[in-house]
Amino acid sequence: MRPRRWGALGQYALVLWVAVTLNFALPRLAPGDPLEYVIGPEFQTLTVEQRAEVLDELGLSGSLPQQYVRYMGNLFRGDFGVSIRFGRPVPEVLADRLPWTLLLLGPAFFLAFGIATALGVFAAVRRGGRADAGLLTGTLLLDALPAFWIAMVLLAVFSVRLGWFPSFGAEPLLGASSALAYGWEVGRRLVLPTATLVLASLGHTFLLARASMISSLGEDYIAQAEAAGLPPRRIIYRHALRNAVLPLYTHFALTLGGLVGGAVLVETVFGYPGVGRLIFEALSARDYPLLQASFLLVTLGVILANALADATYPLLDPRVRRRRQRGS
Amino acid sequence: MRRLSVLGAALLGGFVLVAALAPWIAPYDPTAFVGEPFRPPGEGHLLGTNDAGQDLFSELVFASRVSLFFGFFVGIVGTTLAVLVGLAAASARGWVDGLLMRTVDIVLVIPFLPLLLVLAAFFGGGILTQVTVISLVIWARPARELRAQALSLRSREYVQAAVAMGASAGHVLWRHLIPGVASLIPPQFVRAAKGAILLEASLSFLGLGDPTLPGWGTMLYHASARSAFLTDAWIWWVLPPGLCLGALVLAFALLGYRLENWGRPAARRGAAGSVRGRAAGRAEDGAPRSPPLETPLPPGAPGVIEVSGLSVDYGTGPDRVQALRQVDLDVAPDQVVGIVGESGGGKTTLVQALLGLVRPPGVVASGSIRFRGTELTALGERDLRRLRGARIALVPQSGQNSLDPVMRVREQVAETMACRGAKSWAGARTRASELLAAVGIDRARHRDYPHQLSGGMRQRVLIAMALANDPDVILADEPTTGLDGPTRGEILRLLRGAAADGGRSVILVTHDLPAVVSVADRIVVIKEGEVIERGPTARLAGAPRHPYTESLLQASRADLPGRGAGAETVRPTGQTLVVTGLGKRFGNAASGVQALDGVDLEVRSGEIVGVVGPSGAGKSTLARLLFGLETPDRGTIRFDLEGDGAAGRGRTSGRGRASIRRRQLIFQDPYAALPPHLRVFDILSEPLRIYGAGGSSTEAVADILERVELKPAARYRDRYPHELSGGERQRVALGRALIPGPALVVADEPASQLDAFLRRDLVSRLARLRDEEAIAILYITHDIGLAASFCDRLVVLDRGRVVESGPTRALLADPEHPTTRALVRAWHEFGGGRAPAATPERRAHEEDREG
Repeated sequence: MRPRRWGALGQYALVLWVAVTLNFALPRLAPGDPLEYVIGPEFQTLTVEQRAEVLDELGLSGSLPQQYVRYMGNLFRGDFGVSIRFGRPVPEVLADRLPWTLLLLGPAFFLAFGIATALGVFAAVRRGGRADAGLLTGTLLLDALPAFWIAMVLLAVFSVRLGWFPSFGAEPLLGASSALAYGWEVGRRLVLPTATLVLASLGHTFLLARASMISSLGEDYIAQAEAAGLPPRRIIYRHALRNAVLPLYTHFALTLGGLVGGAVLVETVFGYPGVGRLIFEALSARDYPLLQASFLLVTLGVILANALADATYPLLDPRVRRRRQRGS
Repeated sequence: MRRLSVLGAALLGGFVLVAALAPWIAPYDPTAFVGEPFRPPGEGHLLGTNDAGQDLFSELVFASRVSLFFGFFVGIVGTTLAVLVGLAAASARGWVDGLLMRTVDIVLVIPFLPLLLVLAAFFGGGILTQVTVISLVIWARPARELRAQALSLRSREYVQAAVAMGASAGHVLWRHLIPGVASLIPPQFVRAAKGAILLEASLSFLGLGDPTLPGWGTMLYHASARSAFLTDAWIWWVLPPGLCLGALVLAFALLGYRLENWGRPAARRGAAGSVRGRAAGRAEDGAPRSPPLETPLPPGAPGVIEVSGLSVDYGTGPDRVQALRQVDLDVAPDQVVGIVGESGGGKTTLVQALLGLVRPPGVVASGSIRFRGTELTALGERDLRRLRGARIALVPQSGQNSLDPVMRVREQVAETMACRGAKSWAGARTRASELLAAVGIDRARHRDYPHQLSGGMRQRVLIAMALANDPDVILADEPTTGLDGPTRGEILRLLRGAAADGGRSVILVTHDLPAVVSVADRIVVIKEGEVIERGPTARLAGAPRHPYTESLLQASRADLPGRGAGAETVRPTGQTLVVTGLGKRFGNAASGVQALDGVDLEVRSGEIVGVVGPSGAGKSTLARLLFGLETPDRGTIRFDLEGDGAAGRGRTSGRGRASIRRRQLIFQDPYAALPPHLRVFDILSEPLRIYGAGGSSTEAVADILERVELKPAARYRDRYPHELSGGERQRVALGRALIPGPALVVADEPASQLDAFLRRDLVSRLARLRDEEAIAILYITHDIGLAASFCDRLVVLDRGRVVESGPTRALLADPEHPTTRALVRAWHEFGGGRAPAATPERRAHEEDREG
């Protein structure tokens, strides 16, 4: 088991390295002046001396290997440059935004997973029936609709039309009278973005849950459990679902990348001040340092989640646990 | 589902039509300002206008072109990339595979939308960037899936057979891998198209679309940026593009769903194959049918199970298959009843019926099943459940998959007691431990998971489960399938012990006639769903009345043609194969398995050498090493296959073309050995194609069909394997091995047991090849009885080592090594097809063993 675990770690380190190197390479490969990518459109106003000075300061002078070494050094020291749009160090800007994204993604992820699994079990047990066909068609449709459009429709109906929920931001603009009132306001603003993310990822996860539940219901051990006269509940939950969760769990990783992408769109529509919206703002403002650092941050997040899923998987599946030493 | 896929096709067709005819359908130029802003829908403007006075309907119609372009173009680009990478990785393997798969993993982990945004930010928006970056992220997942499929194809026996023949990587790719994955490509394309459309819309929604070519995503971007929500315009501005996107993606999804189920080769061919193959098999052996022979129970003995006139159908109408027809069966307490018949003959259906587990499309058409006087067919599910596992328990087929892989075995045994409230969990666990110990599982293993136990141990666990609630009847459905001789003997002994234990009946259902003869008190023979003969074991084994029973008995009896059957037999001459010190290890030094450890072996022309040994002895590894499917760690393999005076070529590895074609491998499982996508003619001419042999392959194929008695040749040459019976398939596999004119044939046994008929047929053909053509044969099997019947010499393998070898007769007369002894003992006790000992004696024997 040990060598495999190290292999997985190496794999994640490799992904991170590729992301970092991509960040290093892009401004240098892209058409135009690399300075534009680092300090914004004002680069044209610089004098020749200033330009040389800035290039030097930003690590854009010298040979490529020298630049690369300096670049990596800066990253390790946590120096991600200064945001053009906010005029502050990039890590500070990110630190402001990260909690909101976590607040949004965390519940959305678990809700989507829970609801999809419950529906998947329900549909798989009634496979071929009316309820199953209905759920299948419904979720295929849901899966086909773009997340940002769902967000727009929810916003238009529940916020603009019905006025049930605020349409913008994550916290009340004027502050709140008490901590409780503040929490209430924050919660209200979470509802629509969370609902969007859940709806947008529900279809995919449901189809997967249903398929893996159907395949585990078809296993020999289920037939054996039936022949042994176990109660249906026990067969469905303790045996079929317990085994169906395994492929779902390994699928976490892939869902997660998609969810982060969804966050960019959904936060943008709802004006939610998370990292997703930050990426959009950086993109619109051509704030390259901020854009690159945000990209690194979400990549790191996905890698961490993947590593966590990998590390905890053996708890669920005894077949990949390390062999017990046996003296016989 | 069919209707939904038609809907999908119709939707997609509609969109294509609209996109193609956009200039004629749209009333205005979508970029022109043709009306006042925010005009509500009405005459002239179907959906009204936007804030700048552009006609929304025209915009919507033209925008369909963007999404369709992305769907088809990027879908094709991405899928092509995926096919190239997936197949390249699967056929190159080694570091190329490693590199490609690492790349795939990296692409899959990096969150794709942020990546797309970063790339688009640097290279600018617009259609070219979009096409490039979406293609870049979309290929990875299909590439991985195609590679996995190609790799699993590579490990199939028919592909291995081609590799063993010396087929080049190109040949394998072109003839086997590409046809094998072809059915996966359309669904992958559909999925890629779906993804591309949504990604394009998302990028465009973030303002990265091509401004000169607005798609639905760009329309929504404008709507969002210009706060369309604040007016009523959103209904006309926001809803239509989103719904169009949804409908288009849904169209692709529905088509994809259909394609995926349609294109699954295993599901399609497998199902058709088994049903049709078996139907053909039945037609083939056409033995005359005679009415059931009644041997009633001794008067006064009440049956535990009384089945009368039972018929079970699958399906209805013209497609109906009658799995069981008018079956009668009586089982007295304290009896072991054997139910024997070929696979697909209805045995398993009978077991399901006895458990009340016949599920649609199966249906009990008529008849009655009584258990201790209770009519089972009249009971509800709840009452049946109370009987199952408690009064009537099942020991299933294929023990490896019948236990839940994520639950400890003791829990699984305890569960059958605790779940019906018979015991508390704590009490159930204690009892489970006792039961497991009683079936011979060491206390230290009770908390193991199923994968930690061997096949035989798992089968013991299942017997413990069956015994848990002290049932009146135990149904054992092929309980020894796939087990080696000694293990099979242990399981049969346990079942016999279960019957000896206080008035319990055991029904043993199997195609393994010798097992039944050695264990059962009475035997029922089933064929094509009907009982054709029944009677006490001694009578039935001694004087079978039905020709089918007789042929079954013969097939399993060890009286095959030995050497010297014919006058002009060829004496063994020169060495054809010499193996010295062969070693192979799988895995690393700490946790690996030493599959072979210094094996020496020799086969001469005109002799059959049998390699026997229990599971895990390294038998199949040996075959794989001989044919270059694995590389040995050490030792040499020397072929001398020329036989026509040109000896000396092909030393050590025997890599020469001529040497390769003179040795051939046969996989004994006829169901896995042939490529399902090729016709008989193509299968048989494959070796000729590989060796680039000149001459007419049409003639050669016709000759070989004649030689393996598939006559008339014209009837067989254009058939697919699934249209053949098991016996016919096996002969095709043999023909494929014979067509290049081999000097050495190696026959590898599959993991599962074959029908006695199939084995006997192959074995007698091999014996004839030896006698008439002096072909050297290496026969690999775990059945020492079968090997003893026709092999000239035996080599006993255990845990990678040759533990004993010698001339068959001498070796069997006086086996020295414990492994050989165990194999021989199991064969004598359960394997020889001889008349059974009387029941009391067997019990005495059983007590001896325990005492």
